[in-house]
Amino acid sequence: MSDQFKSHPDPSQWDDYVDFESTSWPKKNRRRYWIIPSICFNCESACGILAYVDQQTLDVRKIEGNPLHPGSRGRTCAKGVVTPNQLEDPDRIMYPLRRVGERGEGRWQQVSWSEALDDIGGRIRKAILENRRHEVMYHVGRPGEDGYANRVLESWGIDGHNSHTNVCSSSARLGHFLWSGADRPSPDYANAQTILLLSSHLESGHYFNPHAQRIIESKARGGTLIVMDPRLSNTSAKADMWMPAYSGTEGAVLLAIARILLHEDLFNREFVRQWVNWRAYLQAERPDLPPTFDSFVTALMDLYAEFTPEYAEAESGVAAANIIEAARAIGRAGTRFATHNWRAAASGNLWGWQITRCLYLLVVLTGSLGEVGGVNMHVTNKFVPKHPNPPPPPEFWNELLFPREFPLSFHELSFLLPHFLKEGRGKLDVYFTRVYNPLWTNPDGFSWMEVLQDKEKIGLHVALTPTWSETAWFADYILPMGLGTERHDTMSQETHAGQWLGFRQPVLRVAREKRGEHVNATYEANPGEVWEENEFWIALSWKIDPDGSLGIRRFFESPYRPGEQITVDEYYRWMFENSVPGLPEAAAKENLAPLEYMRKYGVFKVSDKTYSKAHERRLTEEELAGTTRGEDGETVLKGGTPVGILVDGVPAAGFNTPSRRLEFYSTTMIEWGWPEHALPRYVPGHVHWRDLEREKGEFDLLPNFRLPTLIHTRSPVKWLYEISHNNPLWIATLDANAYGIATGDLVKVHTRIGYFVTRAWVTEGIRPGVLGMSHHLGRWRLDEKEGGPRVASSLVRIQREAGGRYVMKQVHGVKAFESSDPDTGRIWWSEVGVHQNLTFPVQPDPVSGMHCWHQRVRLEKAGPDDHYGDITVDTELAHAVYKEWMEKTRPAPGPGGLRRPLWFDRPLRPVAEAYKVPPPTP
Amino acid sequence: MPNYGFAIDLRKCIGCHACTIACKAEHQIPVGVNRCWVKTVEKGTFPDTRRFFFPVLCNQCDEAPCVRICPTNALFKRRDGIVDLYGDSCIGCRACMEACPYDQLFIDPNTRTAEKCNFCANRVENKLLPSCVSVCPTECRIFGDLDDPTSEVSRIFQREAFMVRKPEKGTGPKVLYLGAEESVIRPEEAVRPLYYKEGEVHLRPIGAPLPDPEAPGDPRVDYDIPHGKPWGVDMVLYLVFKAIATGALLVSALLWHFGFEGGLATVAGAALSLVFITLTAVVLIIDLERPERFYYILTRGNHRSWMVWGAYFLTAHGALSLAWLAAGWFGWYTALGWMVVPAVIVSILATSYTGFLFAQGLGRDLWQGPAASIDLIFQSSAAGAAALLIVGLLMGPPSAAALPVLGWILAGSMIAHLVILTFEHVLSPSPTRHHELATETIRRGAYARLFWGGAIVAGGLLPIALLLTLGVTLPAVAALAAVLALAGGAAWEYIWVEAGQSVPLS
Repeated sequence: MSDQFKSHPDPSQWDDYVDFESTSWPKKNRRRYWIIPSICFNCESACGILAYVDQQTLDVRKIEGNPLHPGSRGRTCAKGVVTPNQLEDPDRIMYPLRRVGERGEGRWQQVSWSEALDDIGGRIRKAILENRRHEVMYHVGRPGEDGYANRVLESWGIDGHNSHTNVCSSSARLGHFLWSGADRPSPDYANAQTILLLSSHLESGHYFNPHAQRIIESKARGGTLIVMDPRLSNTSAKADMWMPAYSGTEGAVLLAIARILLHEDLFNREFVRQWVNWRAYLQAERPDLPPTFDSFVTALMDLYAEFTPEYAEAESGVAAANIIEAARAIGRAGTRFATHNWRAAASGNLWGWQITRCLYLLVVLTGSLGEVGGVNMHVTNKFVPKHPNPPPPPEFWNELLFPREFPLSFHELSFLLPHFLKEGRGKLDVYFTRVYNPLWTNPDGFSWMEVLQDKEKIGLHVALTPTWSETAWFADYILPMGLGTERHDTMSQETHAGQWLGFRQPVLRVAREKRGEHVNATYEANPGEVWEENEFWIALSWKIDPDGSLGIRRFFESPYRPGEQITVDEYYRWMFENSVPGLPEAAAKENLAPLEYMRKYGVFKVSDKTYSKAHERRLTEEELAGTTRGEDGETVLKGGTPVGILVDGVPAAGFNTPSRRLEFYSTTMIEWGWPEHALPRYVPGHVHWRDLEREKGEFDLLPNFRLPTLIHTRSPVKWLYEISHNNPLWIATLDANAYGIATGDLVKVHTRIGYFVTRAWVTEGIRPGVLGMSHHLGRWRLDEKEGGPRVASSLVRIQREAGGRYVMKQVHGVKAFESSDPDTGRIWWSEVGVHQNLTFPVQPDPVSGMHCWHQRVRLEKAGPDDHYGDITVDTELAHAVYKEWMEKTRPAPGPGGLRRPLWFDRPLRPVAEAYKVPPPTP
Repeated sequence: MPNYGFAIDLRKCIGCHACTIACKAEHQIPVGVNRCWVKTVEKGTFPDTRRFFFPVLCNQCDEAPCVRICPTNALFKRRDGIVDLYGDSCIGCRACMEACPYDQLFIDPNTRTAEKCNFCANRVENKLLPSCVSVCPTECRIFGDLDDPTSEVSRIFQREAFMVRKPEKGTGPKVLYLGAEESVIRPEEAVRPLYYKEGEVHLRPIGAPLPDPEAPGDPRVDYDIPHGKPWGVDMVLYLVFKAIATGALLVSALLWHFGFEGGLATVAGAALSLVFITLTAVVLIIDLERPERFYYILTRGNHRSWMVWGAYFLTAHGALSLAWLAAGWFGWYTALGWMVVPAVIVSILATSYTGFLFAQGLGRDLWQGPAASIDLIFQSSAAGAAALLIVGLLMGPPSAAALPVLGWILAGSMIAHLVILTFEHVLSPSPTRHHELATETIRRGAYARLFWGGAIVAGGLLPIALLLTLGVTLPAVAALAAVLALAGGAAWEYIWVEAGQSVPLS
């Protein structure tokens, strides 16, 4: 195979690799490089990369995949390779900026880092001293690391971690979690026989490149790929069977498949008998049946009796014959059945987590959980090492993050923050946005703009970002942080049946050290005054607690030099020496210290084949000591908390659920006020096709699909925009003909709170009745020269009219411009998409807290006064819609006066006491 | 010695464009041009719709037409079969872009020389896989030695049902495709919309078929890179100037030979020829991306390229025109007699080689017609006669005797030209779909108005009619006929250049 050729230079050559310079080829000009491994920062996959750093110029000549990385195996997607575009982006922010004038006015002043640190640190110190810890918040879009920032927040004693999860994956997480107590699946695609995707993992998603490799591997070996998506994604295009179900009806198809598995006896009886909490179900819901497993099978058949293939076809539009064929392909695969849902249908629809539960029912029925070619849990495959000197968890509960209305949410109600602030639920004194662009990425961006401009609600907004963003424009400080090759982080993901730990490195710093220079801090080696966050947090924490009296400083002191400020080297040295099993030994074999090993290879394979099936692990005598049995006689309790389960009399660890089994029947849902959702069931979403008034022009807009070439708002670079620079509205030929719309025509799309004008793309690749519009595009800026990437954003004007009415108009699209890069003068594209999210009201799922992305819209042809990119929104209406959706919630407290079930984790978990709703103050 | 080839398993390609970007990064390819890319085609009606991905790169042809046409040997074939390019020798004539049937060459705006995929020869020599292979997430690209029976590509070559792009071109392409769909591999099959799935269509080939609203299931291109036309108005000017120059010398030599002794035959023709051959050379040189290197065509000449022979012919033609002018001016009439045969031969060569040069533009089916070289001779004699007619009319009585003959030559040449056009481009069935699409632009499409109105009627039939009915008796009418004939000729040259390049190659 590919004969004597290697895909990458051998690691033994990385310290001095001699390459022919391709641009002067065929002249054989040799250049010397240090090949320095790191991990990509563009999406969440954390693929391994190699930076070729020129020994003479210290330029990063190119980025390739790291062949040693077990997840990405030396390969990257388009977004990984463009990292040098990001490094050389003429619109990069190189120096700390402080706002002059009003927020959003766009006047900036360069400040020193120490001024910025003094100001921000002083402010946080004051908040802590005045017991206003809840007014400090860190809001992260792309974390790109595991545990560092959380540890910082814990050390400050604040419950201030906010995330992007609720515009991303909340419903899928809840769906998985209710079953197994683990919120992420980890499919073993490579070895699967049948793969069912409710996602587009051959082009995007968690974790695109590692997963796409393995899905195709399965296909190449004769595996069957089935994709359910109303849109012909690239993934649908590669599928052996494309099932374009109406969005929100996926559950009907999945239950029809389950029903066939049951009726044709294609399910794993033994697995289901042992691991599903069917006894609890029979006892509670079918006391009429004898408490045997056969009764449960009968009960299941009864329960899902109506889900015949014909019913599912009528509901979803997917042909019954296809459903039967898919079911049999799944049944035949047995335990080699892999599936995954992360966003897509679950994120698109109200009750989307029920879609995930229906999907997971197939995992359970096939018994593929933890099997070769099946679906594992992320807890088995993701490896997060312990950080040095862990601080205690915060002692209070921040209701701006987890309000009482959403006791079961996954996780923080991040995208509702503007409405919470508007309602006066709290205010923020210091608000960090970190690689996060809520004004653009979240729905209802104008409401974000309003609170970001309001100094009463947000005292100080600090944007930590490598580049301009719509949100950063409304900051008080913009602090430039390093890109993927300019910072330290550790990361691990559950990409496959294996565990690994990746190490991100500032490659120029490493290069300088290789050159023999002593580098004290990463910013010394980075371009301009670009810092890495790790050093920022250390420095800031020392500013907050300079004398150690607050008890914060001690968490940022060196484990090797008592009382001294910890360095990033020491931080990771400690981690690699103490909390990565096998790493010190592997390093010793090569005569390296663990940190040196990680600097050299950038990754460590923690374990290989992880089919451990943790639920089967027999409890040790030690674990069993002092335990009691629950009412069912099976649950193993320690101090009242379930820690295991007797399966056919054998004590096993089981799952991380209250019953320690896979919860087909969720008592939690019943106890927390959702008895109708105790079981996996089909519930149509909020934009059900039958409810649409098609004659009035109503459509289901699918606005959340992604492209293989872009990643949210972090990839506005020339080589990617050259390929993908617009997000026209996908419309089926049938619908387009009805409206007299041709490809390229302007159309106007009305939502509950406004409208946008864009171009149509007429296609046979979408279900009639559904419109599609891709995420990522429609970037804008308010200033000709700065505030946004000029290769990728339109210049716009925003006007505020009476009440909360905003009008956005494009002044011009992208234009070629002169810069340090001659390529910016060669830009040939102009229209770069329309920012549809501005016109979406927030639509939180009342249980998971997920923003339900699908929009019920009204379509019309644009009129003579409509122009490309016109957007109008009413934020007062947006707030009213928010209130409507909040009505659907069923607030805490739940059993025991809790805010949230104790078994429901949080990304930054406060002490157990904080889970209790405080007694009302008289 | 190895013989490198590629196989691409399209069943595994997911259209992620990682190869495109890895290539850009490896070779620092500017915005707007590509060594490799992934075309996307959608086919079928809902729900039986499918999208196909088609990664393209240079075929490193066994019989590389780009190497053959390259006038300065900048393009060359390595011993391992890779077709590589020595940028320092490239003058930027863009002929290679016309020769390649696969659209794999472009001008790098940074170096202003041609560029192409070379299977990452710089990596291959380091025993590394090409960057597009090394990056590919799904390992759909296989690189190796076709002559090594143990290699995967060789196994595929021998055992699998593969396809290559345009095998009919006889170039021996070495990129093998597994699982290719017809509408993807044949660039003329899929319709090309005015807007892509993810952005604007830039530089859309004007002869590409448009989507038919009645047939939404037809294969349609979803994504492709911009494809500029290598040759433009400069080439038209070159053709017009050269036709006048070569025609003027040819006609005046014939006039002399048949006993017309006036200044028209002795001086004016040669002077016209000299002026216009100079203009031809100036246009050709200005048109080069690297005009300062124009002389490479003589010093580094590739004798398989008609462009090099053209340079010799044009040089010879210039020299002969000068000699004729000198002899005519100083009255060395014996010398003129000696020069008749060489002048006729050189004029014909200098005019008709262009037909062979364009035919070396193997990518363009329209230019493959055998009649082009002959038609060029008639176009040339028409242009020469027309130019001399105008000069003769201005010179007045001394040249009067020659005018009717010039009229007859002009009319006769025009008739021959129109007959050839009619047979070649109106009546003759197209041998290929590409040819058909190009011809469509002439008969009914973008160039139809100019063709029928300009090249055929106003610049063809009308001057012929004027000359046949009124002859050259009315100077104003004769001059008008001559001007119309020149304009008609120019119109056709324009159509020939543009329509030839109007069909997508990839």
